[in-house]
Amino acid sequence: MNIGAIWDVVALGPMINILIGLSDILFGSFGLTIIVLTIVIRTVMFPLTRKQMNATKAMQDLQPKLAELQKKHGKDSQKLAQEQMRLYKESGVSMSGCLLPMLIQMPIWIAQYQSIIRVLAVAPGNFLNLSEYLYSWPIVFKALPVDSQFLWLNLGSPDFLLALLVGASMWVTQKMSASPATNPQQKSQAQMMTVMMPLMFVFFSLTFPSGLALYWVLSNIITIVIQYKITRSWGSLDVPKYVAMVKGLIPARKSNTKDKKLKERISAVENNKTVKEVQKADASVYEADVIKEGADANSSEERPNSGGGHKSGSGRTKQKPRGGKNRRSKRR
Amino acid sequence: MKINKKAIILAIVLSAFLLFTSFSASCSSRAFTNFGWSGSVVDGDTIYVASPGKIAAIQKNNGSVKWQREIVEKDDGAPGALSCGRGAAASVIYANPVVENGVVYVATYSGKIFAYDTASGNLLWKYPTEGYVRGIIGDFIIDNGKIYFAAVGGMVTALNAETQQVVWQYDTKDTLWASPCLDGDTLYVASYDKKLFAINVSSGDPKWSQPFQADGPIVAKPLCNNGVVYIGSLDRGIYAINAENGELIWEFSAESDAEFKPRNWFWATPLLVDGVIYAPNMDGFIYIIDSADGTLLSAVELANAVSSAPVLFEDRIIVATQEGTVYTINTENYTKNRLKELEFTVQSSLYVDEGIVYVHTIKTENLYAINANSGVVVWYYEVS
Repeated sequence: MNIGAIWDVVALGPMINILIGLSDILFGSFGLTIIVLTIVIRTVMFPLTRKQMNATKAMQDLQPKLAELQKKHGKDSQKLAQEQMRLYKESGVSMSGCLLPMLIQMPIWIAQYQSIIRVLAVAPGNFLNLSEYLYSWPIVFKALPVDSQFLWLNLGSPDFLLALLVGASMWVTQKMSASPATNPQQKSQAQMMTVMMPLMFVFFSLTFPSGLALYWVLSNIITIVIQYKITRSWGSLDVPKYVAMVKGLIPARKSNTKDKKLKERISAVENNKTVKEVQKADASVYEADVIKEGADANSSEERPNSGGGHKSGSGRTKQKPRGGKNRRSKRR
Repeated sequence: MKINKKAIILAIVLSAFLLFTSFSASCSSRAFTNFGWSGSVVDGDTIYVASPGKIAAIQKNNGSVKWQREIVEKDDGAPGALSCGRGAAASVIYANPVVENGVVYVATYSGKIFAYDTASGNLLWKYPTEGYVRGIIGDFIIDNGKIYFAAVGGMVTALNAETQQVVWQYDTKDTLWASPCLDGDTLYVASYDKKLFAINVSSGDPKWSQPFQADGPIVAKPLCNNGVVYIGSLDRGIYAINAENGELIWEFSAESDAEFKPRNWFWATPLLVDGVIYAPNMDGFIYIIDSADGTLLSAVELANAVSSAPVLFEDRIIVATQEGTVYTINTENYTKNRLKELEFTVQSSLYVDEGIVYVHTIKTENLYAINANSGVVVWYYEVS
């Protein structure tokens, strides 16, 4: 038995039959079936999603420190790798923590979207091959063919509006999950990914049946909700606090604000400086902060190295929350 | 920097994986490629075969080509959104070619009928001259100067074969994949939306007060015989219907008391021989049923699913599985014999003439001429 046959038996067969059977229970509506099954699968996989998002967030929080290590040991790749490993170990963050939950979930997502395509196969040659996957459950034979009409959509054909929604929701998820860039190169790469992924999925959505696009849109929306619930942040979509205050999104008065920098920024915005100008100024302040932090860390790092390595290292780890808070306040 | 690179690499790998799985699920894999399953037809010393984007006339004694023509058109009328032939130049063809009075007719999935002169291969006409009807999958029938065809969009049309003027049209409002069946003055049209219509060919009006309703889609051509219409359905049932009033006479189904119950679709057109129905099923069995009362007489197990229509040759039926094994089944004792292993996908109807069975394999697009007694391949022709 080859891998394709195993995949068909283990993943595609069950998913296809569940989809068809469920559509019969849900009044024959395949659109509703896609929605319900997507919600059920995402709910069942929520613990894994949460684990992955937490790990990703922890990894993002480490980015400034990693940038700092890069600056310090950029020319000595061995030393850099050692220091990075040490940082991961001390912070309890690992790449596998981000990847493993995603790798477990991916086969289920892929099985689901491949099943949607197969069940919606309206061309005769494609539909004929569906018979290979059918269990001898009476409900499966009763439910076919599935009703491909849902709202304004013919789920068997591409839909332009839904393709745009796929692109927009994908863009939001990308922006929410993007790591804060610590250097221009990283920033440009992140920007490229933020644009490329949505464009790619818009292209897919215009090529495939809209049933698949419906699944993508819903899946993206669920990701956005989960991401927000877990991180309590819109990621790089967050409105800067000073802009929010000026625009009245956050009820705060300038006089009550103790943060000097924040006061300055509120004034800047009120004095008709564009948000971009203020953000540009912020970026330079932020970079300066990172360099300063790096310098502080270097000096503190030198001490334990000369004294008693491991203990001091763990001491630094304990101070991490404070460091994070300071960094955030500086960014604002 | 290192992590960033990893993230980028991961993103690229994931994107490539998504891209691969998407396209493998749409265009290039076996499961999702739309080739059509047109078969072949013999007229005189020539066999005509249609394949994606082509019609060929071949000498039936040696397999040499008399003429071949490309059928190139914009395949934008196809109802299947997944068709990779969509927008492509070569037309996907499901319907078998038909020969009548020196003209060979071919209908494309995008919805156009082409008529060629059998001697020269010259294109005589096409219908419609501009645009398309909404997809043709089933075979069409030529009788008494009229061409009858059912389009996927639901319209059944009677066309004057000489003038290509529409004689009448009847809109079933259903999706039509199955070939129609003509018996006397009635055309029987089965639908993907689980119905069987009876249409008077003189007027184009429905014959029954309401169409017969099955429990599953019907894609196999109905069998019309002696006042009874037999249909195989994707609900795993075979129905016998009174041709006069559209009422059910008997039903053989997965819920029947028979020892062997069908476990999958009746996709292929069944064959009726001496009051016995031979109904191939996608579960890999041929169900042999008494046409009088629907009793199961026997079930012959083949190695694989069958979606191509069997043919009768002398005292045996010849049937091919999807995986390309050709069997004969004796009509006296229902014993099977393996005739030939082609090892290529067979979904087209078989055709038998003068002791030679013609098998058109899809994807490889070969036409095999096989001796129906010995199983020896007399010749084969690479259609594409």
